[in-house]
Amino acid sequence: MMSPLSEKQRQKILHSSPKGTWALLFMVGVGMVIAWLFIYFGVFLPRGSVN
Amino acid sequence: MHIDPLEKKWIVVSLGMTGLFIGVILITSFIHGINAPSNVETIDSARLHLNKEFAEDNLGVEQQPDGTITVRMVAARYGFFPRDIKVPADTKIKFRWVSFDVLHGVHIPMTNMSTMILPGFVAQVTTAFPKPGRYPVLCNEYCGRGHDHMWSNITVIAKQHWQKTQQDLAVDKSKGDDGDE
Repeated sequence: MMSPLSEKQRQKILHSSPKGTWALLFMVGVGMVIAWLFIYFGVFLPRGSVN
Repeated sequence: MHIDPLEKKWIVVSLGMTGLFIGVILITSFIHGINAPSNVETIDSARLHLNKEFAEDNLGVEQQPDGTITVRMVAARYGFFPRDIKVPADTKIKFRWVSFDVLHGVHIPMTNMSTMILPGFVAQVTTAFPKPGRYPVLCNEYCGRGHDHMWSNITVIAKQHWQKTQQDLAVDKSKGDDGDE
């Protein structure tokens, strides 16, 4: 069972920077950009453009 | 309207990625000369057999004097005609598709070749196939009960083999012409 937080700890968490969210934002953003660039430059363009 | 600061960050990242992708597409399109197919040309679908270009004898692959290839194909329930064609790899190929009856679509898997074929119009698409191999040509617009059986084949031949094939054909033709005289 988790130990209850003191009011000081609770306030610290509430007012500190959300590091987990930044990490998630970074991972999703970079992951999607890499995946898109791979599909575009690694798959789509080498197959020959259609005009 | 109140937006949570974290929501704003996600919105900024999403819009930033969208902007990046559009920018990359525009720049590479400019560099490689890519543009959306834009040929508009009408044709009487009910009289294709009377049309010089799409008469049965003129369908298939034709090599132009500049080395480019023109392929004329007719889509009709339920097949693409001619059923088997051969084209060279790494060569600009101009496809001219027409429909004999209803709306069809053409898709060649593992390539970027895909377009709709509307009755009454010539669907013209220019592309090149970098990888030799045998590819199916599939209809991807529902056109009737036989739609899932509507397909044909395209064989992409390595460029050096293609040139040899063309030379052999030219030799055969000249021998045939000599024999006729």
